[in-house]
Amino acid sequence: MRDYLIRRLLQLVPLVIAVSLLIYFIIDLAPGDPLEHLLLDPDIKMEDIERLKEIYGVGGPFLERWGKWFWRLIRYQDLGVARFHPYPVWDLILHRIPVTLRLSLLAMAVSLAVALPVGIFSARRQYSGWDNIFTGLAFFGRSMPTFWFGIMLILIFGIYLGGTPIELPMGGLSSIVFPEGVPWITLQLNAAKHHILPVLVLGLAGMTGWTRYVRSTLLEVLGQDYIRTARAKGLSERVVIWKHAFRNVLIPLITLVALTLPALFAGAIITETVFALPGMGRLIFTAVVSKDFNLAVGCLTFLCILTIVSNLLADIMYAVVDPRVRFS
Amino acid sequence: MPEYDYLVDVRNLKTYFYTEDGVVPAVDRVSLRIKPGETLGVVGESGCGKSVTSLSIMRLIQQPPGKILEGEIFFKGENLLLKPEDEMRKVRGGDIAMIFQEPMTSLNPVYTVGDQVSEAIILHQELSKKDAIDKVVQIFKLVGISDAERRVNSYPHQMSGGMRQRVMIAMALSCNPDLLIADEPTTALDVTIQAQILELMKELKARLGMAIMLVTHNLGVVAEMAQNIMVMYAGKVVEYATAREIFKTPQHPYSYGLLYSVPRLDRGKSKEPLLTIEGVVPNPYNMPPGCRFHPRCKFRMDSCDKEEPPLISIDNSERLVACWLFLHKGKQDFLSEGGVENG
Repeated sequence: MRDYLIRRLLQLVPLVIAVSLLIYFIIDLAPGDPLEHLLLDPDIKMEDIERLKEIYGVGGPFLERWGKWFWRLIRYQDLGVARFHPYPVWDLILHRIPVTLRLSLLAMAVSLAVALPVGIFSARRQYSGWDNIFTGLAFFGRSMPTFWFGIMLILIFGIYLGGTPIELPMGGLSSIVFPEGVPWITLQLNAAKHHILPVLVLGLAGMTGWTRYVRSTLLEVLGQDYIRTARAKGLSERVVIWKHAFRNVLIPLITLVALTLPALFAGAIITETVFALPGMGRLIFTAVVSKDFNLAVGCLTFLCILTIVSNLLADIMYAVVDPRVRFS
Repeated sequence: MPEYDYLVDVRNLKTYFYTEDGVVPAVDRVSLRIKPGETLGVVGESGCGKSVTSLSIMRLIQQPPGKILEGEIFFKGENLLLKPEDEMRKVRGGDIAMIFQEPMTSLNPVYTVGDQVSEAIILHQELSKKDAIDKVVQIFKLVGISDAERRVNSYPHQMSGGMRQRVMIAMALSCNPDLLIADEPTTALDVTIQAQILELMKELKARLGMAIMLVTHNLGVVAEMAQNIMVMYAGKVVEYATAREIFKTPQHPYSYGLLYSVPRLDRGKSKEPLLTIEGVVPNPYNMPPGCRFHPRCKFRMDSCDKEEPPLISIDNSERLVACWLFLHKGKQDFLSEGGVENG
């Protein structure tokens, strides 16, 4: 197990280098250079631009620029300065990442919390009325565009139900109208309320897709010989499902969940936009649209590293659940 | 003395499968009896209902699509079909244990074999986890798993097919069952391992004295192990006899066909070609009328496709056969007259 971990960690090094090269290359393909916009400023002198070029490592051959950028990243943990926000890229990321992580992890947790029990329930009562209802709901949810679902939820819970006890906030991280000295718990509850709708919207795809997946995987597992063996031992149906079948359902599910991680980290753009949440998705989107070179490269690299690390975590989980992976 | 003559007494068992394509009469009015400590061999081609019969006794038929429609399964004088599910669970693994055909897939890949065997012990004998594992080690030694202390911590994928079948046997015997149902226990193994496993089963039977219902299509296996043999064809019992009788004087053309389609050393010098049973097993959705074997039978008569032959006793003994030939012409001697007329 330890050797496996060390081997996997060593594999990360070339992977991170390759990924950052690729990202740098793709963003670099866009016309213009990162300092071009300064030319629009009448107060700036050409000497200043040359000086800044020297500082930021702009101009020169591609590999040299990338080399300088990458060196600054590992030597000083410096991703440069964003263009429109006068802040270091690193600070912006650190400011935004908690929002995105909280949203994604909550969405994932809620998805799993729904998908596992519902999927198992459906499989055990295959073709029953409830199974058909859940199947219908799953396809409904799956086909629902995120932005539309978000807007509809805002419409229902923010406007139609406005003023009722189940009114939910329409966006943002918290209500701004708090006076000084409100108790901590009130702030937390308020923040939690703001997360309900976005988490629901972001988690919908996983919730519905994984429910179907858990259902079909469990049906397949229940047809296996070892389940018959477990029943022939006289085990109760509960033990058969939750001990013998469940762990075998988890193995393929971990792969599937791990595959959606990058999307959860980066792909919340639509949800963040609909609910006006300051997360990574919107930061990247703004960076790309406004050609903020440092910000775009920085954010994307950071997300890629996050994805690589979570895939590693998934692989470790895999080894924990499946003994066949551990030893081979 | 127990108040029952037969450990297992199955009467008129009918298990059908209701699929989208139609109804499959997988087991149709099958009766069988096993005395304590006796071995019954159940023989027939694939799809003849052998496995469904054994799964029915365990009440492990998936429902839907399967359903036990009629019949009684008496075990130690109690009808298992009337037992509530939680009492049935005590019977499964405790009084009746089962081993399956595929040792490669019959063990859960994500738990150690020790864990899987001890599970039954903890459940039926209410031992602690630690005591149960100790017991597993003992049983592993009994079934010939070397290095048992270490092997209990192995996962199934770390063991060979033969070893896994030993684990299955250990699991089945862990709670001292009165009946062991072995559903093709050696079919998936290679020949040398087959012999080892059979030898092991014989030895364990001699030591532990349980009854065995041995389901197989391999006549060599039943010849070695069983006292009585039941031949099934397309969900029906066609012949029921002691092993000696059936090998000497098979009475059903199908039994005869089965016996003489296998090369035998004691007939080594004869130049006769091996017998084949023409045709294939009937389509289960559309069973032939009358005797289900008649389309493939060389001794077919006019009455064969009209009405189903009843299973009747031969000479008022326990020996049974269901064949019009016997009913009309009395006892047959296929071996002296029939062996050559092949094709």
